[in-house]
Amino acid sequence: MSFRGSIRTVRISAALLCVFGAGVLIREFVRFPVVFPGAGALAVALELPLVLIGFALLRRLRPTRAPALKWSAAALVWGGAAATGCALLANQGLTGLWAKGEGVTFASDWSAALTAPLNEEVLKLCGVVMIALAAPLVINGPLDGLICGAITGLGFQAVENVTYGLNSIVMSGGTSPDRAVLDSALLRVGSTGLGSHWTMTAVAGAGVGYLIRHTRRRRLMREGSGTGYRGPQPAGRSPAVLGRDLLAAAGCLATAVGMHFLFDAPGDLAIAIKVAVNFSIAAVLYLMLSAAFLRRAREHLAAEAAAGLVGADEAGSVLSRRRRRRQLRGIQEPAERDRLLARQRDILTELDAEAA
Amino acid sequence: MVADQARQPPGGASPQARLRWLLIVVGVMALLTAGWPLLNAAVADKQKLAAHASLQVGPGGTDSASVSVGQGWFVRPAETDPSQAYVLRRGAVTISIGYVSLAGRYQAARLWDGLRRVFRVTNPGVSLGQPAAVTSGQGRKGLSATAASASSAGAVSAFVGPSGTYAIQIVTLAPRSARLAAEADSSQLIRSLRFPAARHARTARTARRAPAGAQSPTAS
Repeated sequence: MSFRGSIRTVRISAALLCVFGAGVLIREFVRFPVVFPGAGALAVALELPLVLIGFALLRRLRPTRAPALKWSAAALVWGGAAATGCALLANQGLTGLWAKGEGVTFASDWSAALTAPLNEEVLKLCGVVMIALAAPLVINGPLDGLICGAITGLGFQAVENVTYGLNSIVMSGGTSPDRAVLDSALLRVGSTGLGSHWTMTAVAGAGVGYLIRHTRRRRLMREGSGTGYRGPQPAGRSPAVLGRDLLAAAGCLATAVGMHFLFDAPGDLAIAIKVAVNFSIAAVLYLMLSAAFLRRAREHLAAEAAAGLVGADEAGSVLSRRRRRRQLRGIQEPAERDRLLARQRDILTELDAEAA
Repeated sequence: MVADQARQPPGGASPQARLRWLLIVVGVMALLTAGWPLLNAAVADKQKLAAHASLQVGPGGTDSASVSVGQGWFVRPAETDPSQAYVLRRGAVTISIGYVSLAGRYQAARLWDGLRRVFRVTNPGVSLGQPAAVTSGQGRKGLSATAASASSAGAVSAFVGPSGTYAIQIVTLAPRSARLAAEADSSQLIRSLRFPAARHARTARTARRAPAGAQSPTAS
């Protein structure tokens, strides 16, 4: 199969899985908007600010430029459709098994902590892998994976919040549907929103990013060794660095599962502490990866400038969104502006791969 | 914006490797999405309850209620969470005893309209009759109505807890041929319904009225 054929197969499969997940959700919740139309609309409306603001902020987190809008939206849809719908079925199955095997009291306390981290983290993570397969330039390393994962988790979180809001109508006996939905949203957006799914999948997504960087660099090393070249390897392609990437990938995936377990586990630990722990882990990882990305980007640009491949002005301005815009605004001639824009994009695309 | 995302990056996966990863992803998803439910379906969803077992439903303490069942009942663990609901089965009769957390203080009459609407979501196709007053074995007033669909019949009853902030809903359903058994089981369960808070309150009142040295009826 050709490269384009394989890409098309992945994209069609991902779309079908999203349709399947959405179908599961619709089948499960379709009666709510019929019986409680106002509360149903409210449950969705209350999540819109979270989705819109979260989506914009998470995309803005990426240094130099935001990830492609189309693939960011795809990550959001995967989280909200494929992952959520499949998780609904998987969780029902595994929760039932815990109750049958260990008893209803044990399951009442522990089934969420022993079910969701396994099912939900894997299903959300599949979305990050699908995007890496469907659009190979989108995820080049851990930072791209972190942002793609965070957006996938955000989609999952928003749709899960809607389903919790709808279920809270039932759990409150339908006596005050709007109040039940509002209380649920306040708790899940206002109280736990900062440390919920988006943080867990951000960390897991970084793990996928490490894995992608590891496999690409290993492939490049193999291709290099095939030419008979025995000299020093480029930075980041030594066996030690490759091994570190693999270890980091495993560490990120285990940490994400651990974060989810902590979040759902029963016990006396206050929910505010759980939220703070998850948020801090995601924030520290982001700051580390972002700083490392920018450092590698500056080093690469300096090397390119020294070789005369990039102008000193370009090297100084291309990493900053504001300076790039200022450069473009300073050019009156449309054709010249398009040329500069294309040049900036080329440099940034190269940096995405080299600094990943 | 980003250039064509379908371009192959340096060191990117070959088409064969891409399809291999796709199969892995789809396989893992199928394993979780279909595997757990299939495994769950393969394990029997029934655990025998001891005769006259007492079941507490609700978060616990005064914010709960208990019922006791007769002989031959099974609990359906996969649908049961003691803090929210028990689903029981005996023969063709299925009973669910659910805890409902109310947003405010409610009387049974005000609760009914909400429950009727919730019933349309949780049990589509089953319609409720006019509610009538019903009294639990503890003397607590509630409402009960018949439930009927094309193939099943039974009853729905609701009792607001003493605090007025929660309610217990008992839904009994069986095939139409077992309607009488369903009604009898529903009545038996309603007779056994106990609200701990109500018992404590009554106990306190009794203790206040009792002469010094008299034993509390619940002390033994």
